[in-house]
Formats: sequence, structure tokens, C-alpha cells
Amino acid sequence: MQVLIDILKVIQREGGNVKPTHILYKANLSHKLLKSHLSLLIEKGFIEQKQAGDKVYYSITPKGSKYIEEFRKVEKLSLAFGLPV
Amino acid sequence: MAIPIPLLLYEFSTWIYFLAAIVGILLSYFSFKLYSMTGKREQRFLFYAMVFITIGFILLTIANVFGLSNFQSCFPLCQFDVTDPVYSLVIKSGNYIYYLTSLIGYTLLALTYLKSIKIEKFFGRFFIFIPLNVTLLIETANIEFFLYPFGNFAFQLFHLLAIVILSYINFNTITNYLVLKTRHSFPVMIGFIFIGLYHFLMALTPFKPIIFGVAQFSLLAGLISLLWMLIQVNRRG
Repeated sequence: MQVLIDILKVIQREGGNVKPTHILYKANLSHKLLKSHLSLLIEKGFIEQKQAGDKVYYSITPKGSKYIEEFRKVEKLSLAFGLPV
Repeated sequence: MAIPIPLLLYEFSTWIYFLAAIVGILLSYFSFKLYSMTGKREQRFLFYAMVFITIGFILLTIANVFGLSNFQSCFPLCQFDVTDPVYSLVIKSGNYIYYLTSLIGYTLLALTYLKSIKIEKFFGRFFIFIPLNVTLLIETANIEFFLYPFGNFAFQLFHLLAIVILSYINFNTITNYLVLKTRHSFPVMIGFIFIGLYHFLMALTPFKPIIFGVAQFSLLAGLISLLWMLIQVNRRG
């Protein structure tokens, strides 16, 4: 779960369209793992894939942004009690 | 144990328990959200802890409201098993279930700070065996013993056990604040210190009933602290 959140945070931080290689570098994952995580995030509707020529980009959806916002809130709750997230 | 509490304080305590139930519901909701997002053992224990503590306060509120609405005219004489068997049953049962659920809740909260997986396994088995133990108690003991196994000592025993468990929780919340020094960890630390103080003062209530009122203010301060933390956490940014 933490990996998925990290990927979402990377995409959100970059603002617009993010290349998979950039996510790969920031999230420190293998290509195979990243692919499966990205598929899961698309399936959940948190990110969307865009094609520009032969290049693939990912961007966060409003649902994904809302999820990160909710996660940040519960993360604060967990840390308030001193529990690892 | 018959402790003559003035009616006004008894009414005040009912409102405090009601507020505790509301804060408990909110904490249960947000800790469930936390657990559903992370799926971690610590968060699961936090959620269960909040649920148990909340159930206790809800039942305590119901028992108190029942007492106030049906037997107000005879206060404070009819408090604690003096006149009416129905009153006695409702109040005692409400209090005993509150004692039990609160202790389970505090224990689970303390367990969130323990790392060992073995503990979880042990408690998993413990909870599985609860229905069996209850059934055996009903079968072997009379109903009076089942409902009030510690007799009049239960009141102090509960508060003393709560103080012991809360000391460990307080140690962890204080350490957490000293390490993180965040605006969210501070109200949690203060909240549990006041809740610990509430139990300490409640244990002293038999010596002087007015301490009951001070204890309620301590619980109120603890609840406001936790509510403040929830507001802070849910603010944007």
C-alpha cells in the first residue's frame, strides 16, 4: 500500500504528465513491479495513462488527488499516536 | 460500593460519558479509515481499541440515562443497588460492561506499541476463547457471580488496572511527542494524561465523593484534547 501511495505522491508532486522512467527512479522499483502497480492504480481510477506519439505519460485523477488528501489526514492521525504508517 | 454522588454531578457525568461516546465514535471512524488504507497490525489494534472503549461509554451513558430518567426522585439514596432490583441490574451491568470493554480497549491500545507478532497471536486466541469462557461461567456460576465476579471491589480494581495500562500508553505518547514535537502528538499526549488522571481520581472517589466531580472535569479535558487533535488532523494542509 505504501508503494502505491509513494507512486501517487510522485505523480502529484510533478504536477502534470509524468514519464514511467521518472516514477521508476523516484519510487525505486523494478520495471516489472512498477508496471503492475501502475495497472492497479489505473484500475482503481487514481491515475490515467496518456499517449503522446510513442511516449507514455501518467497523470493523477481527481479521485487519486482526493485519496492522497485522505491518506495525509490519516497519516497525521497515526503519527499523532506514534504509530508507523 | 455505595458512593453517594450528588444528583447534579451524576447528571454532569452522564453528559461527559455521552461526549466520550461521541469522541470515541469519531476516533473509531478515523482509525478504521487509517486501517483500511494501510492494513497494518498497529492500526488494526488502534481501531479495535477505539471500538471497545466507545462501546463501554455508550453503555455507561445508556445505564446512567436509565437511572436518571426512572429513579431521579429517590437520588442519592437509591444509587448503587440500594432499593430497586431493576435499577441495580441496569446500573451494575452497564458499569461492569464498561469496565470490561474499557480494559480490553486500553490493552489493545497498549498492544499497538508492542512489536511482537506473538502477542497478536496470543490475543487472537484469547478473543476466540471469550465466548467459551463466558458460557462456562454461565453454566457453572450463578448469575450474580457472573455479573459481579469481583463484588464491591470491581470499581477500584477497574480504575487501578486502567491506571497501570494507561501508564504504559502515556509513556509511549509522551515519548512520541518528545521525539516528533508535532501539533498532533501534543493533544494525544495531554489527552491520555488527563484520562489517566481521571482513573486515578475515580479510584479515590470512595474517600471523598467530591473527587468524582474533579475526575469528570479531568475526563472532559482529556476528551477535548483528543477532539482538538481530530480537528487539527482533518484540517487541510
